Amino acid sequence: MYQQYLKYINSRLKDNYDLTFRLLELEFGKVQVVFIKSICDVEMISKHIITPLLHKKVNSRDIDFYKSEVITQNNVEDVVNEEDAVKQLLSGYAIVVFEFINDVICCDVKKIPARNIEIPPTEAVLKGPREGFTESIDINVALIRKRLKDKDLKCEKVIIGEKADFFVVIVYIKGIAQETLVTYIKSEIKKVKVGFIIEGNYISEQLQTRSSIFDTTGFTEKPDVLVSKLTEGRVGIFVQGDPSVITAPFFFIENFQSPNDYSINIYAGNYVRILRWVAFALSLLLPPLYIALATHHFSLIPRMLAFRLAISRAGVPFPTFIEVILLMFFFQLLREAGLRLPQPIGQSISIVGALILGDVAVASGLASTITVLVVSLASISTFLIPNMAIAIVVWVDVLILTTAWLGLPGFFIGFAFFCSHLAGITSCGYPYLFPLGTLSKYKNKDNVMTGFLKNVSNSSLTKDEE
Amino acid sequence: MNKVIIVCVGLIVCLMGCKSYQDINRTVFTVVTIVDLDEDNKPIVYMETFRSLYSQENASEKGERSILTGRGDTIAEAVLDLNQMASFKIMPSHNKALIFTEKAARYGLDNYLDIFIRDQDYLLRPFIMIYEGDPKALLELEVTQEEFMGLYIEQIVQNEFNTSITYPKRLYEYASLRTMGDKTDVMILMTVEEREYPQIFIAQGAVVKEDKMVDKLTMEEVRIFTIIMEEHTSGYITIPHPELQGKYISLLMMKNKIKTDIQYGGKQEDVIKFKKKVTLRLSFEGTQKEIDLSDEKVRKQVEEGVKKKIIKESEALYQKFRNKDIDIFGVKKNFQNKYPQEYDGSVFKNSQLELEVDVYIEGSSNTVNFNH
Repeated sequence: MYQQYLKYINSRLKDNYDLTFRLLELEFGKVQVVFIKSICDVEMISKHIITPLLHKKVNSRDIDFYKSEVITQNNVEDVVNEEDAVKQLLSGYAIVVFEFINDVICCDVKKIPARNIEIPPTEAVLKGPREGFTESIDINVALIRKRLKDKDLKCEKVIIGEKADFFVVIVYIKGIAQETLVTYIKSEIKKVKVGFIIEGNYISEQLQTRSSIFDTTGFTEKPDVLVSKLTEGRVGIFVQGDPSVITAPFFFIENFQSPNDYSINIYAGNYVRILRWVAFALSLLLPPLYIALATHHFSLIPRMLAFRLAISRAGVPFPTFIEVILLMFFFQLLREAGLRLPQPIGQSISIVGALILGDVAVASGLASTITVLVVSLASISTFLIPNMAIAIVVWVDVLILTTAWLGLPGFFIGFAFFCSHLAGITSCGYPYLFPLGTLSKYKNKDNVMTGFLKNVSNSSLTKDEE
Repeated sequence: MNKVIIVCVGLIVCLMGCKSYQDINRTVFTVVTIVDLDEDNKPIVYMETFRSLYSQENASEKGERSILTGRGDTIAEAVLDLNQMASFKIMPSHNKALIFTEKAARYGLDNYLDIFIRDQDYLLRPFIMIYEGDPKALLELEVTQEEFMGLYIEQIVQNEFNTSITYPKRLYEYASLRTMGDKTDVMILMTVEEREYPQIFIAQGAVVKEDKMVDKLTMEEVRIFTIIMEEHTSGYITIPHPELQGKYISLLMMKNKIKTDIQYGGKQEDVIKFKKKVTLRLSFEGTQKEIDLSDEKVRKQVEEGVKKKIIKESEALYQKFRNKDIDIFGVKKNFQNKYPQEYDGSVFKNSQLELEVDVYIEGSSNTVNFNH
């Protein structure tokens, strides 16, 4: 058994510099302590495993004696077989193999480097909690437990994956989250068949039931946001190595909500909400409406603007819809460039690029000033609803094509497609346009506008009592 | 699925030109359309147009005004002829006025109206009017207040202090009125008057019966006609000073309400009474010599003066057109609505105007003490 285990571990994990074998000579024979030093706390191994074995008077062939009286590390488990030993090693456990005992044990000594708790850059707030999740599940769960001292809070480990031992942790509040929702999410997670899970999107893809550019799962890097979603009856999914926690179900209306809305004055919060809805309308509808008016329905434009528009486009060689698509493409290039570069340079690139690009496009005759205004207004508006930015850009292109083809009737046809697409999507069995698309009345009072915090329901997914 | 999307996008892009797609800079906009007749009574269409232009010389964009003329047997042919000279398709989306010359109006508007009524760009927005004079001179007239003649005409028609005809103003209004009652309407008559320099005036009226211009209303006649026939009339009423001979006072019309009724006894010898009750709210605007408006007697005299003027001028106008049997007051239409069985062509001739005028002069309150 002793040789068999060592040989197997050696063969499976050879060519790894950090695989360490520590040989101990005891009274009854040899003992090997095997661990991967880069993910283990070496000091803990010395103090709680090696020192007790060497200095304590050990003269037993009973594995329970070592587990209960010799090794002082708090988490000691039995190893089932050679393959299990390899998995435990890779998880940060130290394997203890005895020459004179037929059982093998492992001790939890992992020390995986983790980032400190920082302010999440993607969800900055002016007021309110600033802590953000890290890549470590344990830290993340601790951040939740710190805020939610509820006996019904459940943090279940769900094993997934084929090649390595990967797992996710789903969190929910029993009694508030619907039983069917939790069961559904667990069953979907178990269906994930991949070798590795590096980030949460592997799970999000599995939970997306229909092809769509709109995400049907949400994500957050803020513990306070997750706690609020849990109290509404949603389920959170932690993935090891990903600071973004998945929340499900996720509805269209959540794209317009921000943690800041609840930290500031209710009227100011609702004003900002309205701004986001207006920004959504501008970003989606302004370019196609501009094309409809500037290419099909001149009589709907005030005379002064129509003449100015005609003058500003006099030197532009392209049809209006090509001009709009071209400019939107330029703005997307800028946006992507700004995202990919380091933050200080990225911001400068975005601002300088947009200014220069717009100015030069007009000066070179590639675009008219009014088109630059329309496209930049629409593009800036997408920044108010960043979760949907790409989805909007794609749908704007669709609307532009149908509008350029048929004018306002084409615009309405395209918009009807857009609405029907949204209405056809579901998130974990709930309509994506929730609370639209349901015949029941729900407790949720945080829709287009939010109410006073005392009135906002604790469970948005629970039906009103009759 | 992907193939379907690619085919859809391809179809949309390829078939773009099949529909009414037209870039705004590749369009010639008409600003005013004038219909005249040649010696053979065939239409000549004049259009004042706007188009945008890229100047290679200055490397800049600009808008240019141009006058286009088309001839043909019909309006459609004339417009087609006009399109032969236009650099891009002519669009009437921003046409502000549809003007018929007096010659064309006297020949008969019905010869030309149909094509305009069928085009919603002409039907709904442009003002319709008759022009007395040479259309070329009108289009060449130097207007300092606007760059385009059409825009200037639009502005003077919309000027709230203008006392021109307010109904029918647009083609769709005339299109419905021309089928009612005696089919007689009064339209705006535009003239160019030589004062210090040539000026456009739209204060006169053209009487059109069965789509043919048959008479005119002078500026004074138009003013009295609008007071008794059209609500929301604005402008001034000038009457002699109640205390000083040879001096005048002016009152501004704030509001006028009109109630119309027609009464007929049923016997052949009975006179048809065409009743009008006009309620006028006026504001005292100015006097040539002091007037004591705090004196109730003076105020009564002013009110009586206004009533007298309106009744006198209205009756004179009524009489004038009754003698010509041109029913510009809509007597026949009203009679036909109320007594359809008794209606015959002589209704207007056998009618009599009964005008009741209530005048209120608005001013500051009489209250001088809050205790009372």
